[in-house]
Amino acid sequence: MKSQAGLMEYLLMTFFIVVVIVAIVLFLGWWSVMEMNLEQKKIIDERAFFLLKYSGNSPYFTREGWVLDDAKLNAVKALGENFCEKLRGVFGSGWFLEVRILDENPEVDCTYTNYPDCNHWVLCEPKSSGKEGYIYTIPVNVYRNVFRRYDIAILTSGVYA
Amino acid sequence: MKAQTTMILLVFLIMIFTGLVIVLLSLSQTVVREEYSDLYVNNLLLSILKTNTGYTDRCETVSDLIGCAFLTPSYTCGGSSLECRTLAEQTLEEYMNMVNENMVYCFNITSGPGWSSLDEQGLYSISFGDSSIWKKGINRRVARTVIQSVHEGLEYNIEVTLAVAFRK
Amino acid sequence: MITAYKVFQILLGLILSGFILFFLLRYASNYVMFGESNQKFVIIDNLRTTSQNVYLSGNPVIFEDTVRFDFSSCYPAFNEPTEQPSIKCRFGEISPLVIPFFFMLKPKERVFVDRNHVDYGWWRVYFTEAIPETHVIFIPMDASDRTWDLMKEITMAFPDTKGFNINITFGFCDETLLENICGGDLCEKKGFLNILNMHRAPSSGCSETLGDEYLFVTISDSCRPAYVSKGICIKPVDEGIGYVYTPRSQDEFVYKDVADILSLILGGNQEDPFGISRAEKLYEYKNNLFMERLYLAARIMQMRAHILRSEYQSRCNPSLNSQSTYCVCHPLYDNLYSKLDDVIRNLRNDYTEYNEMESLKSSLDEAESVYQDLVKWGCET
Repeated sequence: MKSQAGLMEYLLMTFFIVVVIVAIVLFLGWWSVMEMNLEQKKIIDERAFFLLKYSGNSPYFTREGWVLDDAKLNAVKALGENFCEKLRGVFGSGWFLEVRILDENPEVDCTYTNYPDCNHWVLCEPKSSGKEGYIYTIPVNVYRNVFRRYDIAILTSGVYA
Repeated sequence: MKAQTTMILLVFLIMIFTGLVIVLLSLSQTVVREEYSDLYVNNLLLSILKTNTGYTDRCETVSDLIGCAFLTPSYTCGGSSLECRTLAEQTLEEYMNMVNENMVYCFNITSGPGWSSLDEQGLYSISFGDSSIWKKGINRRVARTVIQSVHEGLEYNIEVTLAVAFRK
Repeated sequence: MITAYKVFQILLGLILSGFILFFLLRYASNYVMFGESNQKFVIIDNLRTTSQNVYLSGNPVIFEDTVRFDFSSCYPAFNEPTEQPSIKCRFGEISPLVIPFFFMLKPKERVFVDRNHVDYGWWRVYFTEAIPETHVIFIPMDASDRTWDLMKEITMAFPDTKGFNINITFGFCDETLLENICGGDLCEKKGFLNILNMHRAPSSGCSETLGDEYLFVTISDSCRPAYVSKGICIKPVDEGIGYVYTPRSQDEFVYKDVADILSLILGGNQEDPFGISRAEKLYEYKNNLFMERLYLAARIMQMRAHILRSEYQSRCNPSLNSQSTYCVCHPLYDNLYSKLDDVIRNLRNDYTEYNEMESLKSSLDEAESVYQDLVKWGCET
């Protein structure tokens, strides 16, 4: 009876030890996966923020720091999706840019034919939505070449993971 | 007694795990946010100042308009029936609402270093927007720049400070 | 006699200690020897981030972390046109490298990171450069305008380190070293440019044997493969274009702008196991990157010129005002459009062939000239 009780004690102890070990192993596994996910998100977030700053100063779209050139934006738009593929060699995959001039007019997407009577550009629009996006917006100026005027706009730059 | 001690130890272990998870998760806040907020407000200030208003005379850009409101507040710009001071207030409100309706803002316009008094119509400091943003405890972002404005052939440095807080 | 409870206590204690030790070691591994590879990655990543910040701000900085390890195996790599460039090292690869970045990493030395540019008129290509403490020694074998202008251009391509505690200095070698020529002190960028404006005399060669912190730049019409035993040898052929040679007999590089020369100076002759020198790698990176980016820029500017030409032409009413901006500018934009067409075509040329680069240079110069006309007539503000 006494030895049976002793044996039960050892069995119970072993059971608890195994439970603790399994819990630790599962926790460490879950922790490693979570850490990697967090690190990946942090890297993508930092990349998105850098691309916001880079886009806002890139001579592909601007005439000076944080001042976009409306004719350049239209040019990139007019050059089409093939050109976007080439731009991805610079900005990376999943990158896109959107500019909206803040005026009282309704939103008009800029095309090759309606320049300069338009106020909205979306460049290199990502094909698949539904993916997690890291998007930043910032106020900028857009220089209207034809009217020789600076308008205020919102620049949106982002990457899709 | 022993069983009770064992249970307590196990509960202790679970608490350590949980505590570790909470502490490590809380450290994962990205640093990018601070830099982004500062950049946003700085860009907001500089972009608004550079924007053309559509008015003429001394009020072509928002920067010119603010200079006019500071140095000659009762002057009427070309293309408007309002005085500079009122026009500046209205224009800034219009642009700030277009950028983000959920912002509380305040523009503080003060004399730059080395400024000397004009006649009685000159002002030392004016502001546009909600001055309560300067109260203690409000989570605000501030950007500052200096603009130049010409009055009667003399160039004046005027300091423009923008404080912004976001409504939740 | 040891009880089950005692055993349980011991085992639990061991497991908990192991758990805590695991986390401690994990996070402390950055600071111990077996985390060296990890640390190297972190340092190169930080260098990349620093170069990006310098690119955006234009403010130079000194990067200190490279003193900890040897990063001399690292070089920037272009990769394919649709893949982003990266930094490749013996211990791994850091990607992406978005901004053009030229660097020279010597074992356990810190570097000065600064921004510079190449100006094509209608386009300005910014790049960052990271250079350790260096002495650039010129050996001009003649005193012509062409040679002196080239020396000024090369000097301008280096950063100005005045006021910083890392020095990039300049001097001459005429049999012996002539370094302390700026009022008895070493010359930094601005001081050396003043010297170039005030003094002019050819060199008879250089017999000095110095450490690798000295970079020798010989300028001579006699340059040919393996002509010099150290540094590079530049043979200007025409305005802004020529050949660069190194002590390696197989090296003959065509330069068409100062960034080509800079990449060859910074690269150095150290070879990898496949016999490819760092200079060759940096030169290849520069040309592939610049040609691709310039191509994108030229396409955008050409389409922009087309858009503005069409718009201005539709708004031009010669009967009302033939001197209006619209009427004056639209033919100039048309001109720019066709010049950029030549540039785009020539950007597909082989950057190792002199004749092809001569065509490219000529088309770039013409496009720049047309762009200056646009600025002169107020079409571009």
